[in-house]
Amino acid sequence: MKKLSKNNVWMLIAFAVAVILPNTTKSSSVLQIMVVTMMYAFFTTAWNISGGYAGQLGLGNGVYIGIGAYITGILFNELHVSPWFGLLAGGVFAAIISLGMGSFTFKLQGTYYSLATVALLAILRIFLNENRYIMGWDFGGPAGLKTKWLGVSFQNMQFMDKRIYYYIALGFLMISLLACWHTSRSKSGYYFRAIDTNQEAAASLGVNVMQYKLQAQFISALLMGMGGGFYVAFYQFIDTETMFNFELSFQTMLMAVIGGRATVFGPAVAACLLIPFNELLRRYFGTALPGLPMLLYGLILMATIQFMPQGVIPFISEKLERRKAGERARLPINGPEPGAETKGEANTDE
Amino acid sequence: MNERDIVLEAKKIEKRFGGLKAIDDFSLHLYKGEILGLIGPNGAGKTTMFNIIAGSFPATLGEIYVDGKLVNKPQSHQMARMGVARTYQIVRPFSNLTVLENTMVGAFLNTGNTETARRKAREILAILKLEGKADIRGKDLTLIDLKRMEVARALATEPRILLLDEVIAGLNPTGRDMVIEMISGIRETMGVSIIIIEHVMKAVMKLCDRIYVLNQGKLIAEGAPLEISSNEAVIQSYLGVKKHAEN
Repeated sequence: MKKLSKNNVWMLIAFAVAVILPNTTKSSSVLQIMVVTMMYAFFTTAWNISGGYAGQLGLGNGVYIGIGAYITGILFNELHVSPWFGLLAGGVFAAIISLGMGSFTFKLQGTYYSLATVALLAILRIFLNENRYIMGWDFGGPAGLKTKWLGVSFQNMQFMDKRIYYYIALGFLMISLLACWHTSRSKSGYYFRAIDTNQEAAASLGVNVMQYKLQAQFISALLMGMGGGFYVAFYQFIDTETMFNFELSFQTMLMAVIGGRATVFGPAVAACLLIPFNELLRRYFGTALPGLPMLLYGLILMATIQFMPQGVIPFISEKLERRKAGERARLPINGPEPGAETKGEANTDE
Repeated sequence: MNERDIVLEAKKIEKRFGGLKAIDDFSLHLYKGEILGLIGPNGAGKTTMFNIIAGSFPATLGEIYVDGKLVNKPQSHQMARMGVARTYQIVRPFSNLTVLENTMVGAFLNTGNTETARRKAREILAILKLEGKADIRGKDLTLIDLKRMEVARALATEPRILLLDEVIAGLNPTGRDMVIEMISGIRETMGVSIIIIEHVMKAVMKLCDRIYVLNQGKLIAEGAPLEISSNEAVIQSYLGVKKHAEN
């Protein structure tokens, strides 16, 4: 109980900081970084359900973010649908697409699955580059889609004050954290983690592997599609290059891997550390040493994988767990009968 | 208990891997409450048979009946729902989950509620005397505990048929006795029918009501333990091999 309340206190502090933070600066560019940080924290937390808990290391997450963004943008431009509804439509559409894609890509395992998801990114990028007009609607082709500025309005999700975008992104992050938290303690969450570690053993215990992979992917795609809708409302511009290149997709995955897959807060924490770090590096060294941010990013990634292969948060919590267990009793972890003989054939001993 | 109730039947199973016949026209049946042994030299097709019964892959020919009902192209998760649970010869733990969580994954087959699953898993762990290890992760367990955990996980699905693939081989004598006791305990307290694949003959003789002996995918003998241990063909192809190898 004591540990739980301690965690709750930390969560409350983090939440309070998150709420107060945008009011501590007037700088538009600092606020911009904060919004982007929240948005990425949201993306990576959304990815965490299928990529973290269910262990489906999809690299083509930009597909779902992109679909959500394009749907929201096009509905707004062509039919004046409020982005609030647009992003819901985008999320649902992305989720439905994910079911279609999942039903054949999930037959692939491990690396093959990851590669297949990359292919989907390329397909969508080429398709939208080649088809500027679909059903008479202007998707912008390679030049990109710019949403119309209709003046500050809540309904159109258009604001001058970036703090409002920040709070919307924070709200989305809370929703995805709640989804993760709920997943982590539900039947689905146990099944997801079982599928992640040993698919065949999971099936032998009655887990319909395909169904649960699709379920995980559905939730992640729904959330990422909604996030895409926010993305287009915030930037007011998207193009095939930013939505369907590797950077957006890889970032989403890497932050979850660095923070700790299948932990509720790990991915978001990693995003809150890495995105501002990345932005600051880009700002101060971006012109003098253009490659430096990427170089450092790569080094951080290598260090994490080398020293904390499970991610930062699991590494720290395991350390704490071990220390506590060590204090409680200095008993060996394993039972009194260790060891195993080599397996013999027809062991007829006595 | 009616001894004649057949809970599982495999009829004329054949399994080919390319040109290799792993199982050749083999039939078996399992009575309710029985412990059945499946023995034979390495490569005889024992584990292949388990994989077919558990739905890991389909048989090339032949039929599987559970409670007299034909199971059409079964998949693993469907077999689990029909009450067939298994362990693996090479253990397959969920290594990042604790023993309790591993067992809960099994328990979730019959409930959607996390607390119910946790309670069920604790019950099973208590029966198997594993409750002391409940919070240890799969990757930190010794072999014997991994094997016991796989049994716990399988039992948590509340199976009627349990397939145990070499849960005794590879353990030291103390561990063996412990697991033998555990298996007969499971039959008595839970009324589960069991098929075991095992190389440790002492355990097979002690536990099994009936034994099938396979060699190169073919049935070479079937009967009570005593009949089997004195069967010429069995000694020739299996029991004798060991003595030969020892010399």
